[in-house]
Amino acid sequence: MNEVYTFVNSVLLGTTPILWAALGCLFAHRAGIYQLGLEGLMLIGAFASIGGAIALGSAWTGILLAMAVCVLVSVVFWFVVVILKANAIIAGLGLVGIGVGGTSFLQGAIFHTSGAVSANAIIGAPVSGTATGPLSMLSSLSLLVYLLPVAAFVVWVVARRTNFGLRVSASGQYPFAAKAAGVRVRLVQLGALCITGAMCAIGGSELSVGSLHAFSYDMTAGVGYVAFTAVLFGREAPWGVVLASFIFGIATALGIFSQIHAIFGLPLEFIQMMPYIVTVLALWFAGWRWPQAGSAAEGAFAELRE
Amino acid sequence: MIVLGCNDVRVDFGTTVALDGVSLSWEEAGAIHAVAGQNGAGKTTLCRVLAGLIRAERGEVIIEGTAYPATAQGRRREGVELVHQTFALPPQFTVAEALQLFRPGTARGGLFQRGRMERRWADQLEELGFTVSPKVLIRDLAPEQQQAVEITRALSSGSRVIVLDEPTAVLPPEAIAGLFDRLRALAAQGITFLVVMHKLRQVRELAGTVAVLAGGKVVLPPTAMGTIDDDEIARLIMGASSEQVVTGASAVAMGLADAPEGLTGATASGNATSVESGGLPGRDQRDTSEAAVLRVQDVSVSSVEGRRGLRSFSVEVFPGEIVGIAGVEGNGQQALVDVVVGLLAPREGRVVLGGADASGLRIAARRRLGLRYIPADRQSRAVSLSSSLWVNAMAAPVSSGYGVSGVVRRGFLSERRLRKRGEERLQRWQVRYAASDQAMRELSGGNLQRVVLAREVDDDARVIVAEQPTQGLDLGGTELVWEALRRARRQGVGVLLVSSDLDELFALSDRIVVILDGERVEELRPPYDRTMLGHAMVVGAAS
Repeated sequence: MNEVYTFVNSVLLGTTPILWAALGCLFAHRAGIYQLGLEGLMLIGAFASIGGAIALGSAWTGILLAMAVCVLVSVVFWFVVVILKANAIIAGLGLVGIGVGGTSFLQGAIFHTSGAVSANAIIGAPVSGTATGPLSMLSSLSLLVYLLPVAAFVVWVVARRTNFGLRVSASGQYPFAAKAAGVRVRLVQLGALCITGAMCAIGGSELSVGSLHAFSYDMTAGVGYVAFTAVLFGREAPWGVVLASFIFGIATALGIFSQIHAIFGLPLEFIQMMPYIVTVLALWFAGWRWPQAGSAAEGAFAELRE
Repeated sequence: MIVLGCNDVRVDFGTTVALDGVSLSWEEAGAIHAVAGQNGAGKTTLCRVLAGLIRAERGEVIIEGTAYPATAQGRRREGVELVHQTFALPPQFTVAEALQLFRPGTARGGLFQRGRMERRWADQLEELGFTVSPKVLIRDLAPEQQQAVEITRALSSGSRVIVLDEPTAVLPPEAIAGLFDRLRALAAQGITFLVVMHKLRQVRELAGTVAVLAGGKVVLPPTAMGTIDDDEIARLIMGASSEQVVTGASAVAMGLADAPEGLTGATASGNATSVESGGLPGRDQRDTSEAAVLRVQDVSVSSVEGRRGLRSFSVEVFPGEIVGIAGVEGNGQQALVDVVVGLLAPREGRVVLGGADASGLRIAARRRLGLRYIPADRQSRAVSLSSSLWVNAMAAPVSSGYGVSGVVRRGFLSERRLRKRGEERLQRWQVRYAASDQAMRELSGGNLQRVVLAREVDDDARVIVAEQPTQGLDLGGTELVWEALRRARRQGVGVLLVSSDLDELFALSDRIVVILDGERVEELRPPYDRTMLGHAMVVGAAS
């Protein structure tokens, strides 16, 4: 039974950063912008929250700092992609590069180390470690895990039950309709990207001040890309994204689990391939089942674009 | 009081002038006013300026007695609502969500409850007599239902002036009467409508006044329908282009040695075939049981922005025959050409080439069946400007698989042989060039069209789709193209000629099929009558 509890624990641990970032990225996608730079944003968030935690003495102020930094970076991304009309995929990849290189550079410049930067100020875990029994499922999980259901609900309300949510979707699906409805498409896109940035910061913080209590070089290790995929796989719908993120979280946990326990005698390497196989299958499925809608409207009404 | 109007409005799109000093005013409230004009006359632009969706270079818009500058940056204005030609409703929204997007004020604090929102819009829709469920996705609605949502949207703002941009274009015929009834009922309640339409019959049926735009200018200010007849309106709509055509005709008459066959008027022969030299069978005696080389059967294509669709359109082209397609530009000619050449899959109907159903065939397969295409857009559709002349002459035959014999050496295409073949084609058509590997972009328009002819009018051709083949060409170029098409006809090729140059159609066509609003409305045979054709192009069938 304890194996099951441990497994659930690692599923929650693996899913949390994916889900925070994916819930944020949902807004960018719905607004019609592929934010492929999640990985970079999460790294920047992870680094800024550790830096903030060390400098300001509290993990929560560290997270606030991380959110502020990531929102700022998102504004720059918006300027490059929406105003200067750069290709969003290229700009996103650039953002990943800045995230990896920039945090590594600042790590050396500020903390004079290329190893791990750890902080004493961390996010509290309501259930402390080493407990056995059902409660051990929640062992050592930071408060950011517990906040997820609230976040998912708020995202659902904002995306599906507010005027802002409708404007975001209209801007992404059919900018002409949005424009005709008096929506200022580019400002809505800015808002969506800022939400994405802020939530990626939280996802990154979960990795650093939340679970590892340290920052190390390229510590996101692809979580951002998985989150991006989860948004596609989840059809850009809040609950779909939650489901998709959990599927990826389970795949990740299986990889870890298999290092300790043999699963059906399958080779370890195969199990560790799972997250990537699931990603490829998910993308194929998402692309096959739900082709990009609204592309028919692309190019139409060009003169009405802002 | 002026209910709706504009004063000296000018709108430029890049270097083209969409509206040029347009001043119009409508004074009768609770009435239906019409604006007519050809495609590109500026009707849609006018609608968008009136609704405040686009910015004008100068001028002002008048709404219920108040003048506003038309130059304000894309600001929506209260008082006028526009029902768009292509509906401005996000396809994946439900009806309620789409309406909510346009009327955000109805949600307290920006937050709404789905059930309550749906009930409110259901009531609104019902009040206006529309039976549309607010829960359905926009993309699942029939066009008339989408239009109902748009009209509900427009009226829910409290606006008393509604502009409808070609409201009948997207509707099936049976839904048009319903729309007209609804508009009349609303007008009786004091709502003023400005309706853009290009079918004169509908204008007459619905509107109290008509104004005509041509080339971005007002050629007829709002005039009561009772004081003007259809022919006069048709003449104004066709105005600019028919003058152009007349000058083209006189030039042709001067420049061409042999009188173009089938040209009508007092001087032209009534019998088209008698003018034609060479021993081709007279078309009057043509055996109609003989298989058509091209058969377009009941083809329907949906309209999208910028391209009108087709409604159950049929046309047949027999060997040794040129069939002209006449119509005001933008009435479905593009869709017809694209469906025949294989660039567009029709929603319904089929395309038969020489007895074989070609509907599912790729372009290369159609070319192997002898289909050839002379596109209107020479620079981007007909040739590759950056490639060499011989590549342009040979790429399509080789890649389609009918021009490969003799150019393959040891299993590979031989560039030397290909080039030689290409040069042969170019020389046969007297293309003037320095070296066959010079880039296509260095050729002049007429010379460029020769390269296209060299590729498309070959011995394997069975059907040629010629789309505005002489547009922009000088007399010599025009003569060459006409001669090429005539020669092809003599050799038993069927030609589908889509042209907006009436004299070209008269000169070449054995029959002229008139297309209006995506429908086949009339078929004319020589001797052609310009007035009759003009009437059919704008109003529809003569009967």
